[in-house]
Amino acid sequence: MTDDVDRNLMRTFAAAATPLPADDFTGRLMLRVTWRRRSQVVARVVAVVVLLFLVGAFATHCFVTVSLLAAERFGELLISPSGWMLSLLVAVVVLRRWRPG
Amino acid sequence: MPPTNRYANVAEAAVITLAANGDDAAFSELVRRRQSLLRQLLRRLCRDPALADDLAQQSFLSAWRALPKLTSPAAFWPWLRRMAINKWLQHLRSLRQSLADPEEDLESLPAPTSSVDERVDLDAALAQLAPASRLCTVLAYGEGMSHAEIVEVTGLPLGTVKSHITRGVARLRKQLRDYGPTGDPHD
Repeated sequence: MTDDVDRNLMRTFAAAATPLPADDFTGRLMLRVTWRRRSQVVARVVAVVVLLFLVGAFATHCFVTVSLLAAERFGELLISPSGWMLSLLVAVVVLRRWRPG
Repeated sequence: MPPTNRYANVAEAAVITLAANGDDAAFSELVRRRQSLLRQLLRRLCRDPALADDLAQQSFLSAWRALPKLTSPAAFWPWLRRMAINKWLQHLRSLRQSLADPEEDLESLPAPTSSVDERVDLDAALAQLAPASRLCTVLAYGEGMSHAEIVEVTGLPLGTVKSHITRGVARLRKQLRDYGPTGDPHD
């Protein structure tokens, strides 16, 4: 310290400093540290689970959407004019070939 | 609970490096070595041992989280001390007090519990100072910090720091009956 100092007061401060017992304080602190470390692990596990859930949900959504689109296209084929024309063609062919009795 | 005496004879720089790499036993040893100094500093600032211990625990927990970012083991104690001072300043702010507030009315502070004839000890005398004076005086005389260092830690202007220390020392001289003969502060 290079500023103006009162050496007597510094000595008084030094003399008044008595070591405080460490065991209880350190024990309580390390319990908190252990608890924090476990909390961090739990938080990481929760984060991974949430991430996997989101990825899974997105993949499921993509699969369902693609499947629905495919089904929709198939349905569209059934009710579309070209679909009807195809059905009519099949019916004509069947009727021309069918000879009752 | 990890063993706490495994590093009792290991150099502090090595203990700090181990603690920064996640070794809880090394961190426990570090706490064991530094807790007394830090708690004493905070007890002088807070006037309340329970609050001081709580702030010390918070400071060590912050240090535990931020230790991997500490670049130099030699800077550990000033870094930890600064954290503790910031915790105390945060606590003051939570009480809607600030170091920039005008001086407290010292007459409204609790008087020392000891009678006039009894020795008034340093902590009781410090308790009579306003927070800003107490902080500056404790950092200058208890921690041996220079005025420039105190300015950096507290954010107060240099002139304010000097006047707080002068006022604090004058008040302590009055309070400490067993205080020996004091020369005038030398330049």
